[in-house]
This record gives sequence, structure tokens and C-alpha cells, in this order.
Amino acid sequence: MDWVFRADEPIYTQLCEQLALVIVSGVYAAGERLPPVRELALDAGVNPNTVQRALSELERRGLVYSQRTAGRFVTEDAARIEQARAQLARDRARDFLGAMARLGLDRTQTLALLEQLSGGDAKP
Amino acid sequence: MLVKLMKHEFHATGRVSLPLCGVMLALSVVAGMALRFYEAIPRAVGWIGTLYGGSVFAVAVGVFAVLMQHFKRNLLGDEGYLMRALPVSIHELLLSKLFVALIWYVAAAALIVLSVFLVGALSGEFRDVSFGDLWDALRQLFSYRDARDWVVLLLGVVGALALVTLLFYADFTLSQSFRKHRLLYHVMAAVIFILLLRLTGSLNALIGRMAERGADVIGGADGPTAIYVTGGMPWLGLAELYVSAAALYVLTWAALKYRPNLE
Amino acid sequence: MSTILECRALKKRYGTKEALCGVDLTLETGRIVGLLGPNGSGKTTLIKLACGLLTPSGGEIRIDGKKPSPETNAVVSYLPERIALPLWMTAQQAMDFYGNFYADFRRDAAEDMVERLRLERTQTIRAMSKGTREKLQLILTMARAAKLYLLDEPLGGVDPASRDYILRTILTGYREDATVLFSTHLIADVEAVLDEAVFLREGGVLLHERVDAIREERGKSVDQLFRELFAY
Repeated sequence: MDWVFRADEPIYTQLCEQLALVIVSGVYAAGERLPPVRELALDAGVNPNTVQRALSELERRGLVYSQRTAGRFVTEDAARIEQARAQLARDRARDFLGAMARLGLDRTQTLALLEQLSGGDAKP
Repeated sequence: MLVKLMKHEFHATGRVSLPLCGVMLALSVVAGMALRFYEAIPRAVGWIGTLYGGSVFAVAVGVFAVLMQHFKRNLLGDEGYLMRALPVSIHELLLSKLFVALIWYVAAAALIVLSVFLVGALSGEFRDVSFGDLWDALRQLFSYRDARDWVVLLLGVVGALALVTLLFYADFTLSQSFRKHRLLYHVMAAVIFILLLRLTGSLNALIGRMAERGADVIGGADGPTAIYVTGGMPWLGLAELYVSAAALYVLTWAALKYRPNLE
Repeated sequence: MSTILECRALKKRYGTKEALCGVDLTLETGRIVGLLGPNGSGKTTLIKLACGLLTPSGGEIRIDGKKPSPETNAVVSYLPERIALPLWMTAQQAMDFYGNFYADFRRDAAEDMVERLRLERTQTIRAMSKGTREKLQLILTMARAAKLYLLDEPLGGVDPASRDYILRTILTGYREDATVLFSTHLIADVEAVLDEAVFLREGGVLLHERVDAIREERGKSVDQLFRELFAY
């Protein structure tokens, strides 16, 4: 997968978000073992300590859990994953709304635009 | 680590020097055989002889040149970044090079003697020589020398070879250390050279006086005087040789340690 | 966390020119640290002092508590700016050399990396391209299980694809009980790999901070900060 990091935010928080996205989108299924830190670090081209920090954060949020020797696993708690999905969706939507506001679109215009764009898919 | 370094030195220098020696030995075999046909084809044999002579020269010069070039490149050139970051001391680096150089000189000399011997043996010139006689002649030649004289001779030869080698090492290293102060370096080198000469001169005079006195005591015969000069009072001369070598060694070591100036 | 590299008021003069003028720097074990600064800021001098290639003019430098010596060289893996491997050696002989002199050389790791580079073991270094030589030298450096890796411009003058390979090799060799210090001026490329950044300017430490902290507190990347600090 592609890892892209922005300049204005610590890498571990971005990594955290991207890992959450990977989990929510089902690349790693509930209960599945995550690759070891070293492998993730190599894959993302980031510092292993950063990966460690991001995973600890995910652990704190309950999205992953670690077993002392076996490594880290995605939580089996489906509700947790749903919660994370909702959180990510909310964050993205907020970002979107912010961007539209900066472009000068008001609430009605934004909603209309959304309707128009998603309508194409929903009602062929 | 010293042994490992020496192995590396042999490997690095032997790449060129060994083939050189191989060529010389091969040519000595060819030249020895060819000599048997001298009457039939004098010209061709002459050429082969010249080639062999050239190869002896090439070994004598080549072995030395390879050692010196390797020293420069290995400690003062790009390879220095590898060698000087090794977990070895500068003493180990220097001594491994010095020891390997000495071994090469001895080996090259032995191989040159061997090649001459090969030419003689293969050409049939040694047909009439009895090796027992040869050995006896050698023994007679050195019969009046006791074990101590041999030690002195050996130490003298080794010391002289070491001195020459270290002279080059010191020159390479110091001129690199003071690359930006060329003039300063040349003045310093001249001063050191003069000091060495004066040391040599005064010591030689001292040895000469003592030998004369010794010869007077014994009776002034030609033989004993000669023995006394080279055999009886050589320790001071040896000491001088080794002190000079040690001084050059310390200079080289200090320059490598405190004024390394890698390119 | 223990200290692996410590400099106190470290000075180095070349003649009348001061290359380092009082560097105070402490590096902990288990970090990847970028040594950043414009040309002539003292990066190479600092690294050479740490591996004993130079002796300080003042102050002190300690590796694992000891002054640079053959003993500390046994736990320091140094990558010089230039190719220092004897050109007549083959890749195989170069690995033998490292194995001979460094007790911590991991032959299998080196073989693995050489394999991945699709390098002919019997090829001499002289016959390799510049890029391949650089990669081989890096492989040998990172294949040691050293406590401190000192990499002088490992990314200097290589193409972007090689840059990726080199960063990966560094990450592959990195272990939690080791510290990697590498100098570079290609900050944007290496930022994600760094724990800490050390900025050198005119022979002194201008800034030594965690990369995360720089981003968190200043809201900008190390690269941006560098450009601001060193703007003319």
C-alpha cells in the first residue's frame, strides 16, 4: 500500500490514522495478525520507533491488542471497528466541509453538490 | 589482529609481486634450458638471457614499488578510511606493513638466488660442482665467525632494510600531513636528515677509534682488524641503525595519529 | 536508555580554521538520528572524530563511555563518504575482510543483501558501477551488529530509486540496541526515517530535537524548519 505523509503533522499520528484506515477497510480483518513492527517500518519507509508509537496509540484506542510473544492483532470486537469507522468518516466529512466552506460554498450548495455527485452512482 | 593484518598485506601486495616472481622463475627455467643451445642459436639465447635479467630487475624493483604504493594507498589514500576505522591500533597497522615488507625482501632475495641457481643447474654448468664441496667452501669462508657474528649480520641486514622502508613510510606520511605546509615539511625533513647523518658519522668515528684500539691491542694484523670492525664492535653501529629506524617509526606513527590528512 | 555518543565542548581545528567549535551532543541508544547542516558545517569532522580518524583539538568525545580507540571501533560501524574498499577485492573478498576484522559482522545478513542486489560475488569492486560500489559498502557497514552506525552522506549523489534502497538497507540493519547517526542534506527524503534531528551550523549544534516534537510544536516538517533556519 501507499504511504504518504504530510509535512505539518507528526508522522506517528498520520501513520496511526492510515493504519486505522487499513483496518477499517478490512485489509487486515478482525482478529488477524498485523505484520511485525520492522516489516511495517520497511513497508512504510519510516522509523521503527514511529511505528511502535503509532501501534501503541491504536492499542490505547482498542483497535489492536498485543499478545506478548505472538505479536499484534486486530481487535475481534466488531463494535470497536465500527466505532473507528464512524470516527474516521466523521473526521473526513469535517475536513470536506471545512474545504467547501473555504471555497465559499454555503450549506445548501454543499449539500446540493453532494446530492448531485453521489446521485450519479446511486440512481443510474 | 596483527596476524590478520599481515595476511591482508600479503594478499594485497602478493597480487602483483607473486606473478612477477613467477615470471622470473619461469624465465630462469627457460634461460637455463636455452643456455644448452647457446652454440646453435646464440642470438635467441642472448635475448632470452636479457629477458631473464630484466625479470630479475623487475622483481627487485617491483616488490619494493608494490610495497610502497600499497602503503600510500592503504593508509594515506581512500583505503585509509577503511583501514584506520578498523578495531586495530596504528602500531598494528604500521608493524604489519613493516613486517610484511621485510618478509618480502627476504623472499624476493631468496627467489632471485633460487632463479640464478636454476639457470646454473639447468644449463648444465653445475655438472662438476659437488654440493658437499660448495658447503665446505661456504663454511670455510665464514669459519672464523662465531654465532654472535651471525646475529650481528642478521640484525644489521634487517635493521638496514627496516630503516630504508621506514624512511619511505615517514616521508610519505609526513609529506601528506604537511601537505599545506610544503616548505615547512622540506625544512623539517632536511633537519632530520642532517641529524641522522651526524649521528651516523659520530658513531662511526667512535666505532672506528674503538676498533683501532682493539686492533692495536691484538697486534695490528690485517685479519683481526677486519674482524674487529665488522664483528667485534658492531653493537653501537647496530644501535644507531635501530635508533634511527625507531625514530622514523615514531615520526610516522605520530603523524598518522595526530595529523592524519586523508585525501 | 543508555548514552552511546557523548561530546563535550568538542573542538577541532585544521590549522587556523575551526571546523568544530564546542559541540555538546548526547545520543541515546536506539535512535536513528539525522546530522543535518549545510556543507562545511562540520558534519564529516564530527563523524571522523567519533571513529578515531581525527583527534580532537579540545573538549572530548566518548563512545559508550570511552574515548575513540581500537576498542570503540569494534562497536562503531563507519560508512565513509567515498569508496574505501580496495578496488581489487571482489564482493566475496570484501565480505571475508569484514568478517575477519569485525567480530559483529553478520555474514548471513550481508549475503542476503548482496543476493538481493543481484551482485556477482566474484566481480571485483573495480568492475562495479559507482552506485553498486556505494551499495556494497553500505551493505557491509549495515551488516555489522554494531552499537553505533556512523554514516557519512549515505545518500550523496545517488538516484531516487537507489535512495529508497539505501534507506531500506539502513532500516533493515537498524536494531533497538543500536543508534544510527547519518549526515545528509536531503532532509525531505529521510525525515520519516529519523527519530531525532541534529542541526549543525558553523561547527556548533544549532538544534537537537525529536522530529515528532518539531512537527508537533512548530507544525512544520524538519525540511521546512531547516530551510528557515539556513535561509540566506
